[in-house]
Amino acid sequence: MPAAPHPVNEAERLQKLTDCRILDTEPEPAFDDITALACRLCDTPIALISLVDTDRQWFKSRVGLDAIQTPRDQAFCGYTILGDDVLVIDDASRDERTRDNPLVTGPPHIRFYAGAPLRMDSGEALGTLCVIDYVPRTMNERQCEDLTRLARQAVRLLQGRIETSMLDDLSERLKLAVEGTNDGIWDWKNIEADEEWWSPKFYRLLGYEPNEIDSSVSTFKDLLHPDDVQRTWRAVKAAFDGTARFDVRYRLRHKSGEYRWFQGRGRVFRDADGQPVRMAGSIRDVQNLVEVENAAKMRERELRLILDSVPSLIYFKDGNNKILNLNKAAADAMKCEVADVIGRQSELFFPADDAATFLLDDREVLDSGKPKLGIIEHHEGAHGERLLIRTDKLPIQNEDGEYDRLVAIATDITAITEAQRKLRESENQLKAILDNAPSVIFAKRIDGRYLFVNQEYTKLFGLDSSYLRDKTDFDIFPTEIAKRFRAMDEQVTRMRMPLHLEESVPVNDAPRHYLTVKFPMFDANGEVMAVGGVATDITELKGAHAELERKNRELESFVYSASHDLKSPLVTILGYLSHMSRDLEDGNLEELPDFASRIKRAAERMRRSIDDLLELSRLGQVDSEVTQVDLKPVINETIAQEVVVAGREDICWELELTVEKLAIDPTHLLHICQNLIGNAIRYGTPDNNGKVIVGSRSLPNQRVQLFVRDFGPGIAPEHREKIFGLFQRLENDKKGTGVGLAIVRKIAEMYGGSATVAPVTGEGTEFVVELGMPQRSSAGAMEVEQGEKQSEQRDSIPVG
Amino acid sequence: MKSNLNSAIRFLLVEDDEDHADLIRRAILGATADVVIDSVGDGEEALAHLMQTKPHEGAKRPDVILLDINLPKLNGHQVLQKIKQSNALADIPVIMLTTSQSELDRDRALMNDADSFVSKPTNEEEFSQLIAHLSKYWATMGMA
Repeated sequence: MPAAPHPVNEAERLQKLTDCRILDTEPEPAFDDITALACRLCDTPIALISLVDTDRQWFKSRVGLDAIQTPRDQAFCGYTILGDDVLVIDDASRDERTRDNPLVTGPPHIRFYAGAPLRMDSGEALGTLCVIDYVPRTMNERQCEDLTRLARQAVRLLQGRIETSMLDDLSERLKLAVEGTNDGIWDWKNIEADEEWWSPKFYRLLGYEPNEIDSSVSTFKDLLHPDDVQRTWRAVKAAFDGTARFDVRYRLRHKSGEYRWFQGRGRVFRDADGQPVRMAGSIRDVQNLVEVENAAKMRERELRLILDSVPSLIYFKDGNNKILNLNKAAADAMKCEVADVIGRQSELFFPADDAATFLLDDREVLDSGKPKLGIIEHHEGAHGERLLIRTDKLPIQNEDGEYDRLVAIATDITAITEAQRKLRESENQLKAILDNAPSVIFAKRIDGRYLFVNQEYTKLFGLDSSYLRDKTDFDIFPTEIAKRFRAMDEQVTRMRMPLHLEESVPVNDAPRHYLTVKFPMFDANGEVMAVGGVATDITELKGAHAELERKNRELESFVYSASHDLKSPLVTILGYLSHMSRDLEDGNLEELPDFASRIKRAAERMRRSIDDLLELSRLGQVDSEVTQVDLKPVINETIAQEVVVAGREDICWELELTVEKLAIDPTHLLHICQNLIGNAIRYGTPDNNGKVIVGSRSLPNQRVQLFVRDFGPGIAPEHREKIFGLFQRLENDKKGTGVGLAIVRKIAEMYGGSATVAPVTGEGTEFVVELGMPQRSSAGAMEVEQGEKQSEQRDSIPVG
Repeated sequence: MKSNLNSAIRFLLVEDDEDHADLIRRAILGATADVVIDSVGDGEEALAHLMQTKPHEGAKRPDVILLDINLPKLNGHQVLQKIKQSNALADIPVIMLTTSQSELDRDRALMNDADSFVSKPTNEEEFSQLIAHLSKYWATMGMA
């Protein structure tokens, strides 16, 4: 026998069967009543409620059969569920469909079968209600009809099972939803009443256990924050009116007493007339959200405040020149409101070329992910003037770590650049003045470190100004001097007053004299921040002053000596003239020749004195001509001449010329020789056959000594200096004028040298004239001539 | 005071200029005959004379010293200083002689207790004045 084919809606049928949740359940009286009734009405020993499963038919209720299920391919019902009507097989052993069925051929040897399909409202036949007998027979019309009605009853039971099952599912899901959600659920079933239903979560959100407080509108109102009552009930009314959804944020009082923010949502249910009858919804705890939102808002306000209060122009931009945000200064520069610019393209506000340049910079910053600082741009100012702008652009990462926006901070540096330029100019001017001042100018911090020195300073000490920076006087000067400077600086700092002083400072190991003013320099608070100084070198001035004083003394001494030595012969002359005239009156001629010769000697002495004085004064006034002079002939001729004048052929002369040639004005050399040799004859050789040595010595630095050594009585040490003074004579004689050695000394000084009496061993005197290079003097210029001219001039040395 | 009215007044003339010494001597002798004049030519010799040291061992103590300022070796000021520093000599009157009109010379001389200060005479009239000066000293000495 072929097994019955499956119905076309087999899948839906099996799903429906599953939905019934009936397979393999315990027997139920409602079903058993049906099978019992079926047996009685159809007068059969067996009645079954058979449910056709995938591979089997299972009997929810059975009468007269022990098996609880049989294989589906043996089931008569497979055929029954294919149709809508009752299937009746009078004798199964004779029917094509069932005669080979093991249930027919073997026990229980079925012969008669009548089955009504259990077809659900939705059309699926889940099984059958069938009656079976062991003997062939038939069913009348009424019995078929009864069986059909009983089958409908079974279907109703099954239908009920499905509904119950669905309801159970729904209920369970709802329960899960209500319990599983973080929202608290409320249901105001009757808006006329106070009572509400709250889910357990609702209570817990407020800190209560379910049912710990009354779930009612009045409770809700009580928990509602006073400031939120009006708003909330306006929203409820709007929901009732249908003008707005109920979606409102309000605060409810937690059991702890604190208010927490909740988001309330709800829906209004209406009756057939559209009148609101019920309202249900949820509350969600949004306290954290509100806090986060508030914090975000606060940050936004803070950021805005900062942005708007900085003078720089700040723009936030994406990579396409869109302005995402900007500060007030930036908006002002565009002559716009902040809100009018946000979200708009940069090129709407800037010249196209500029905007394109900005975009290039923006992209560079975003592509590299590195800030670009100090971009110099030109903007147009409010009055069309060109502004110099310095812009820093910094990329900003989004949540994914991509650089998709940037902040540009633009600062107008026009004024500061101009100010810096002016400051530089003014500094340069000041520096030029300071550097060209002939004085040493400096400023030191109060801790003694140098702030500034002018060029004169660096030149003087050969120190670089960069070296001097942060150095102190202790790095530059000997400790003793640095201490002195420091003490004065501290005094100025303490007194807050300028200090004028004269000080001596070693420069290149030679002391220099300075007239210095040190003064405090004040900072903006009036505190002394530095000590400044201006030091003027007065060494020359002082030297000149001393020289002037010396000259004055010299002049005084000259006037004194001159008045004496010139007047002295006058006294003689006038005195004897007076005697002569009286003797002449008396006719007494005896003494007249003596008086006359005395007068003559006095007059001659006076003439010599005047001549020598003239010579001395000429020394400083006539230009000298220095040439290389051979010493030997000059000395020899001078000796010869002086010997004749003095009538002293007896003296023995020796020459010791280590140096043969001398750079000197020949006239000067002659003066030296005449005076020294003359003196040696007059004072150094009192006895006959005396000896005199005339010589020259070489000294370092091209200096030369000339000396004349005699072996006479010598000069007492206390007189050795005195004799170089004007009109100073040691001997009570009339041979000298007292000017000669003064002339020698003056010449020596003109050559940077000196004239002295050297200490000697043994008897006698050694006059030493040391000569250096010719010195320029204010009285007369000296020139050193070199080359061929020297030899020519040597021949023209005036001698004698 | 060693001198008295009966004996001649003894001068020590310290003068390096021989002509000047002669002129002064003549002037003094022209004014009065009752004098003795010792002459020396420089400052060292003057002190040797006053202190009776070599070669002036027998020298007489003068009643008046006429002292030129411009002298070789020791000048007049130095000699005057030594005289005034010496207990034995300090009370001998010293008259300074000078050709210059230098105030410095005058001041220095008076500071060293010179008793008088005179310019060297150049004519008869000035010699008379010098003598008048000297007479005044004699009178002073006489009264003493």
